[in-house]
Amino acid sequence: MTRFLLARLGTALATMAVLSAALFLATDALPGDAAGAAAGADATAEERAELRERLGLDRPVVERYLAWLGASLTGDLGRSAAAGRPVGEMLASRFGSSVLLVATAVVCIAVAATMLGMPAGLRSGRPVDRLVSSGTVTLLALPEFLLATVLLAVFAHGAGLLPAVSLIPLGDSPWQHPQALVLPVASLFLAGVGIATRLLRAAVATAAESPAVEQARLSGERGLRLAWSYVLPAAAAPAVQGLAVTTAGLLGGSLVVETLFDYPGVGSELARAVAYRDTAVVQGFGLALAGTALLVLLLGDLVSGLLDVRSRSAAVTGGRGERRLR
Amino acid sequence: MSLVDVTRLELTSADRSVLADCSLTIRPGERVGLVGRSGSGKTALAHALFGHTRTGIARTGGSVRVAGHDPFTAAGARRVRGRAAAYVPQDCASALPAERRIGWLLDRAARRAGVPRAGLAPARDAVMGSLGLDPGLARAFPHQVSGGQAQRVALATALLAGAELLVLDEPTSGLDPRAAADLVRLLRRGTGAVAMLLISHDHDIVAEVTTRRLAMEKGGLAVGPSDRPARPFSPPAPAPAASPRRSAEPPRPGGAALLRAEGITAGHGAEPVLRGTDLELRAGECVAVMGPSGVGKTTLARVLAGGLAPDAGRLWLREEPCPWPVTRRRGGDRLLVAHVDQDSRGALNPRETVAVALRRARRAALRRGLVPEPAAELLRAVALPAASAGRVPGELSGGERQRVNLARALAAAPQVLLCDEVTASLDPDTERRVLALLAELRTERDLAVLLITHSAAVAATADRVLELRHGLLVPAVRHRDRERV
Repeated sequence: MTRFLLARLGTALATMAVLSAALFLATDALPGDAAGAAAGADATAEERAELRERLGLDRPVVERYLAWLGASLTGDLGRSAAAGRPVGEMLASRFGSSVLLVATAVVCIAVAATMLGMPAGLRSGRPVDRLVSSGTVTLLALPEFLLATVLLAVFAHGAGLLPAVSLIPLGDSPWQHPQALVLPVASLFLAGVGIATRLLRAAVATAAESPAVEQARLSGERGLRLAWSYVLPAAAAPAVQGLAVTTAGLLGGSLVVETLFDYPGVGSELARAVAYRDTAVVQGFGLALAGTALLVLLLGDLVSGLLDVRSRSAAVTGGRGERRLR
Repeated sequence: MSLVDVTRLELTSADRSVLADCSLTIRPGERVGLVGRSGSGKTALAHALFGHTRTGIARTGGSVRVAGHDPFTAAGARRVRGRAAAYVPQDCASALPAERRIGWLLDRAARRAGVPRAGLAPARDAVMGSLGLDPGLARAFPHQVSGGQAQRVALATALLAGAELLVLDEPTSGLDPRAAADLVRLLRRGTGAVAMLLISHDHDIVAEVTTRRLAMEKGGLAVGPSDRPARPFSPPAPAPAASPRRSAEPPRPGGAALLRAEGITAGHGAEPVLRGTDLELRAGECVAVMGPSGVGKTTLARVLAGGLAPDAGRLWLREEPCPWPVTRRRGGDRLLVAHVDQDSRGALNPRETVAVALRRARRAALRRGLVPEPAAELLRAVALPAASAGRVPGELSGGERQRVNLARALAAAPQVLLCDEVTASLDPDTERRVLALLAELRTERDLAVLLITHSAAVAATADRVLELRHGLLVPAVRHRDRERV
């Protein structure tokens, strides 16, 4: 288990290094830069060059990347060219709100996916399964912005039940304004529940066909007891990994949803920074989002590894538990 | 009134009739034995008593009554499954839920039978004691127990159900002779007035435990050929090709050691089952490994196959040092050793047809420039009908799955074959054919065979018989004496 954990951690760090380089190079390659944006449209070429030099933008890209990476590792993500505030501080003020948004959506997804995926997987091929499967495929096919727009049109503009824009007074947590959370969470929920349900359904269907579940049925286990004590433990490991993948996907989806509802999270600020060519913010926020996604995937692997009792025994091959070779 | 009443039962799968016009009655307390060739529908009939058919099989006619209930209705199934009747499946190792401890499993069985919470521990200890299971095993997970122990755990859950009818599907197939004898004694005397349907290919055990024998033939039931006084066990005739080399003479000169292992220490948890085991296999040689259930025979095979890393020990293949995990062996060495696992259900991909499984193994061999047998030839060699190529493991019987496993192992054109209880679920006829096939491959292809078995008769076809005792391999004493039940 320890070896598995170390190997997995190593992979995550390597991925992070590659991602950070890709992120830095991509933002660097974008036409226009912070100097151009900060200097304004009517600045002369000399003024821009001077600003560029002051911001250190004239140095070679590798040198700038390494300097940025080094500074990032010590917690200094630079300073926003547009707002003039340190990126770390901006991130800290918005990160919690985004985590709250995504975590609430993930909890709702986990509950709904279990309640839909279990009966579908246990009765695969039957009407319940067909209904759930076609419903989730429909949801999967719809992009977040469309779902969010429909929700906005129905609940905010049509019925007027909920605010169209998540206005949260400065310094308040979104918790204090739950009505502002409802529509963003609902949009993310609808965006992620399809894939999560399908992954869980597949895991449950595989477990339901296993000899152990067949024997449990023949011994008289049925209904909730069968589902909870026999099927779910067998399906849990792949289901947890599925949920981790869904969560990582929602981090990207939150960018769209936060922008649409003007929710004060990482995503909406990132979208704004891209519009203003605020390179330091794009890089810092992008790094934070990528790191969080990798962390979520790592946690998913770790939890599903712990759920597999075979990996806990002392006889371990390559850190993955006693896997017989077939 | 009869306890079991099966009338003209008909089960059909997409391409064949599984059971046709099958009628069976069992009176309360009566013990009925059911024998029949591998794949003749014995397990399908057992499942039907519980109102269960495997995917792809459907009941197309007839009726089933167990204690007056129709198990094919929801209400009837509730009264039959785990109440009126209890089932001990084939391939018990994969029929125990992997995520649950043995103790939990036994407690669930007792709870289903209505034992109050306070009575759980005494009930569990009593049944484990009567089946010779160490009480400490209650803390173990199914992957930590041997095939024979898993079989006894499954039997323990069935006994805890307190049913009027016990249906046992090949209960002795994973047991060593001593444990099988213990089990037979227990089934004869320790189960009270319980009625029993015992499915087995072992006519001897059927004769000892049951009072009436039936044979399954082409989907119907006939009065069993063994419905005559119990006769001494007659071992399968030794395969003719093997006999010239069965004498105790040393391996042929020049026969290089294909596989050599020294000081294998392996096992689950703190207590290793193998403690410095040595083994050598030469080309064309057949070595049998015997020993009581739980002694580490399966662990030895998995270690040699490279699926389970030992804590210590060294390995040579073709006299060259070789790493243990198969993933780290060199290309040519990967296909050198083939492994036929005891758990035939767990070893096959449930979604993959037999043809695809064989094709994959053959392609692996072709990539290495080896010449594997054609798939149809392999199926014929293991006595499987050509039609089985299109089936998935769930549509095969236990004995058929075992032979698919063997065919797949041979499809990779190995030089060393590790057979873990490869004939355990086979009727005597099919067992003879499989042993003859191994003998033929040894002479023609110089295949080295490690034969893990509980049957002294099967072991007698080997050049050398070793016994795994206290974690070491030692020459078996009196292996010619057939210590049988």
